[in-house]
Amino acid sequence: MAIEFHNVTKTFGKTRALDQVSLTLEEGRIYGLLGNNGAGKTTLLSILTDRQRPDSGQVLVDGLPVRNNDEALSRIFLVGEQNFFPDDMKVKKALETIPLFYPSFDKDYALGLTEQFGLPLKKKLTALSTGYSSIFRLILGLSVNTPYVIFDEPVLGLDAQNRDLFYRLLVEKYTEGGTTFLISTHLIAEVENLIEHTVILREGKVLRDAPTEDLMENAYSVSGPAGIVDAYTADKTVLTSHSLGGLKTVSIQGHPEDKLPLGLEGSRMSLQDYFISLQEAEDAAQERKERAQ
Amino acid sequence: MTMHLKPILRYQLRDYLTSGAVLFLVNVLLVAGVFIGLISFGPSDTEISLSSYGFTCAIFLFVFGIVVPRQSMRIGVQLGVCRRTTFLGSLLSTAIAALALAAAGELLLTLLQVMTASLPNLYVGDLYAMLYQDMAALTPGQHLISLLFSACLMLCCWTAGCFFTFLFWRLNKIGCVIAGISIPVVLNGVPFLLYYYSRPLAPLVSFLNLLATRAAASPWFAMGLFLVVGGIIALICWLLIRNANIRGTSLK
Repeated sequence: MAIEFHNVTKTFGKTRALDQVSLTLEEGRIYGLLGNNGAGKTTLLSILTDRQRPDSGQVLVDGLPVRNNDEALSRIFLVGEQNFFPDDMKVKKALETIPLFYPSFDKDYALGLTEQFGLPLKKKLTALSTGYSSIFRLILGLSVNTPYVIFDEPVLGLDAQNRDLFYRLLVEKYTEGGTTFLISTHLIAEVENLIEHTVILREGKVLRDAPTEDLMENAYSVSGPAGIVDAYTADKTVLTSHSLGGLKTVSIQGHPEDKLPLGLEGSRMSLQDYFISLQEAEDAAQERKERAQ
Repeated sequence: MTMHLKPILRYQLRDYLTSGAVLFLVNVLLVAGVFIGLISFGPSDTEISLSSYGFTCAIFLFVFGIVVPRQSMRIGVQLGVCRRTTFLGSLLSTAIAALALAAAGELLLTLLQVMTASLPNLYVGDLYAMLYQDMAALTPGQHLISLLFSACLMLCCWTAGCFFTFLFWRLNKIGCVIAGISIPVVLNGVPFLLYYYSRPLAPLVSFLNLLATRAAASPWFAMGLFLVVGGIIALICWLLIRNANIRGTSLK
C-alpha cells in the first residue's frame, strides 16, 4: 500500500514544474516534502489529488490510478493553502458536510479541537484570519482519518503555542496508527524531529529521497583553520564552505569519521542546515555550468 | 470503478431543493398577491394571465447553472470526489430539482384552476398550456406532459448556464473579453444573417423552420429537442472541464 508517482511531468508554458518525478510513499510513515519556492511541491500535491492533470506520467494510490477515480481520491485528504469550500460556508457547516464524503471523519474530535484551538464555529471560512484559516485546515486533517493525509504549509500564520499543539496532536494521531502523513513545509527546523522520510525537490526534480536519519548520518560540518580544513576536504564531497578571517566552515556529504585531524571541530548537521547546504551546492554547480557554456 | 455519487448528490440536492422551495414560495406569494388584488378591487374587464411559473423556474436553473457548478467542482476535489462524478452528480441533482419544481408547479396550477373556475378574466396555465392547449384547463395526463415539458426546458437552461460558467473558467483574460463581445454579436447577428441572407443559408433556415414547426406542433418533439440540445451542451461542458486546473480561492 503506497502512493506512487511514475515519471510525472508537468509544464506551465516555458516552465517545467515537474520533470519525470518518480516517488513511492509507503504507508505508515511521516514524510517531509521539502523544496525552495517553485520547486514543484504544490504542483506535485495537486496532481496527486487530481486537481491538476500531468502532461505525462501516472499517479497511483494503493495501486489505483487517481485520474477520475473516487476510490483512490477518497483515500487521500489534502490540506492546502487554497480554499475549496463555498465562500459563504461557515466553519460549523463545513464540519457537518465533511462526514457526508468521509464517513471516517471524527466530528466530535474535530469539535473538541475547535475548542482547544479557540476556532469560532459560526464564522464564515473566508472571514477567518490567516492563523485561524490554518487552524481550520489542521483540524480537518487531524480529524478526517483517511489512509493518507497531506499537509501543505500547515502552520502558516500560526503562533508558536498553536504550532507546538499541532505537532503534538499530529504525533498522537500518528501513534494511533492507520494514517500516513506527508508534510510539505518551509519550516524545516520545526518538523525535523517528526519526519521519518525526507523528499527534497529542486526545479521539478527529486534531489533526495531517503530516510531522514540516513540523510543526517551522511552529512556533517567541519570547522577550523582554513588550511587544515582544505587539506582534510581535498578528497571529500564539499557541499558548501564559508570563510571568516582565517577560519573556514564546510558542509560535507559523506559519513563523518570517528577522529578528525587536530584543530578541526566536527558537528552533526540539522536537516535545515543540510537542506540549505544542498541548495547552495546546487546553485554553485548551476552557476559553474552556465559560465562554462 | 466505484463512483461515490451519493455524497455529492446529497450535498447538491440539499442546496437545490432548499433554493427551489424558496422560489416556489415566492411564486405562491405572488399568486396570493394577485388574488388579494382581485378580491380587494372586485372583478374587472381586464384579463389577467398567470403563466410564468415554468419560465421563472427555467431562468432560475439557468442562473444556478452559472453559479453552482464551479463551487461543486471545488468542493468535490477537496472531499475526494473526482470531477466526472461531481459533474454527473450535478446533472442528476438538477434533473431531480427540475422534476420537483415542475411537479410543485403542476400542483399549484391544478389548485389555481379549481379556485379560478368562476373567474372568467383570469387565465391560469404554464408554458405547455400556453403553447399547446390554448390556456385551457388540463387533464391529469396533460399535467404530466406539462410537468415533463417544464422539467426538460429547465434542464436545458441549466446546461446553458453551465456552459457559460465553464467557458469563462477555462478562458484567459483575452479569451474572456473575446467571448464577452462575441456572445451578443452572435445572438444578434445570427438572426440578422438568417433573415437577410436567407437564400444562401436556405438549407439551414429550412432546417430551423422544420425544428420550430415540429416543436410547436408536438410537445414530445419539443422535449426531445430540449434534451438533445441540453445533451450536446452538457458534453461540451464536460470537454471544457475534464482537464481543467481546478483551483480554490485563497484563504486569508
